[in-house]
Amino acid sequence: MIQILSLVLLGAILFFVFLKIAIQGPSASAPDSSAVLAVRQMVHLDGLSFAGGQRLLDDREFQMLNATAELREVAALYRKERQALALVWISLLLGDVHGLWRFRRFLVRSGVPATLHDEIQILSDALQAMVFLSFLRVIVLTFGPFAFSGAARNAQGMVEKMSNASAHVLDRLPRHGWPEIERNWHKGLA
Amino acid sequence: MSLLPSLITFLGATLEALLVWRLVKGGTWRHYPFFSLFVGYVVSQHIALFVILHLAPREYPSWYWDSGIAHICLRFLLIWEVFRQVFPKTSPVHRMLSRQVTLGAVALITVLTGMLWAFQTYGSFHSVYLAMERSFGFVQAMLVLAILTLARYYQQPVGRNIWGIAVAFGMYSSLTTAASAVTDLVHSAFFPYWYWLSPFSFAAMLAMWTWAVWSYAPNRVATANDMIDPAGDAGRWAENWGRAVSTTRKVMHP
Repeated sequence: MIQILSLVLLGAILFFVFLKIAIQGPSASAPDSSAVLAVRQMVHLDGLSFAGGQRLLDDREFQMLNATAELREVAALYRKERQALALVWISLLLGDVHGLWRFRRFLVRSGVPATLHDEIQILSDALQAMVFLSFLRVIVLTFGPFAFSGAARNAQGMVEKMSNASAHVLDRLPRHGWPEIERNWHKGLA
Repeated sequence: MSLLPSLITFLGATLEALLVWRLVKGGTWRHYPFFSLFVGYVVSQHIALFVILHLAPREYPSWYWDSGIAHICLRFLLIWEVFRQVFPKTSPVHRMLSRQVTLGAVALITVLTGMLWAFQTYGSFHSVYLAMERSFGFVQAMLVLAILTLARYYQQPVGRNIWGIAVAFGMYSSLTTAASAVTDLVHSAFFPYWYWLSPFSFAAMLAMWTWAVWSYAPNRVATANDMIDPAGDAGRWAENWGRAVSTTRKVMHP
């Protein structure tokens, strides 16, 4: 009896686990790692290459300092510095989004095959990232750097998604053509 | 209400025909031989049952239950297909995990056999089919979930074909596990629901499979850039070291 009851329960749990996986959908195939590296090398993604984004918006150290009455002044100074750093990092991420969007348009202009669906997707991703980062900047300016500590991962994830989408497009080109793409890209920037 | 059985039969037959068409078109079946073998069994089972129902209705129940038991056992082919596609022989994870996965599968199958033997002790309802359905279904759903979890853990990309096959089968197996266990608990009250739930969930799985194999979308194959070749690196290092030693000798003894 207990065995059958437990199977009813386990079956129901497993069903909901699979349902959750089904709702999430199949994982988008990751682009080739060399294409990802090539995009990062060509576009210079300063915001994305900064690994401490999450730590920057993490309030644990601030709370630790703020908990001691004698260190409150230090905590306020620390918070102000963190706010300035967070704003710089958000600006860098916004720069990455602009750079990646421009790079994507350059790739399509250079003749890399892309569908209309791809273009709409990248446009939507870019707009989402820009709106989110602008909103995050306003939040950091208004409420301080620790108001949205979980947002760092989302912000980085959005830019990473755009970087991967560009890598997917670059991957459609033969590898021996990448140096020429890089040269033309830098020529266009200059 | 009388339309419902015909509707299920028509829906099931249409989905099976669509699935076979998509597998045959473009030769997708060659890429997934074990999955195709299972689909082939399902289609021939249903055609045979349809013929028996009309030609020898008395024989129908025994054929239905016997072919159903074979169907439950053959579902292991799907698990093997998912495993071999997600972790092909060339993958380092396959080499690392194959022994542990085999041991885990053997342990689970031992548990299910024990659970199957215990069905005689149940007070309310004795059905080998239902006992097999819930114990095999549970193990099969667990194995599929384990493969998907491992693929996620090792960031192994799973293509739409295999993802759809695995998730649809996992949902169906877990649902039949729960439903057949409930049927055994409250037989008379739940049996009418089970009577509809079982074919509908199977039709839903067929629909998801048809969507999954509509176009060929395999798992991404690891390229040479993704693989680390320690033997090659060691060879290159040894070669460079040999050159360095000979250059030093030349400098010391010109």
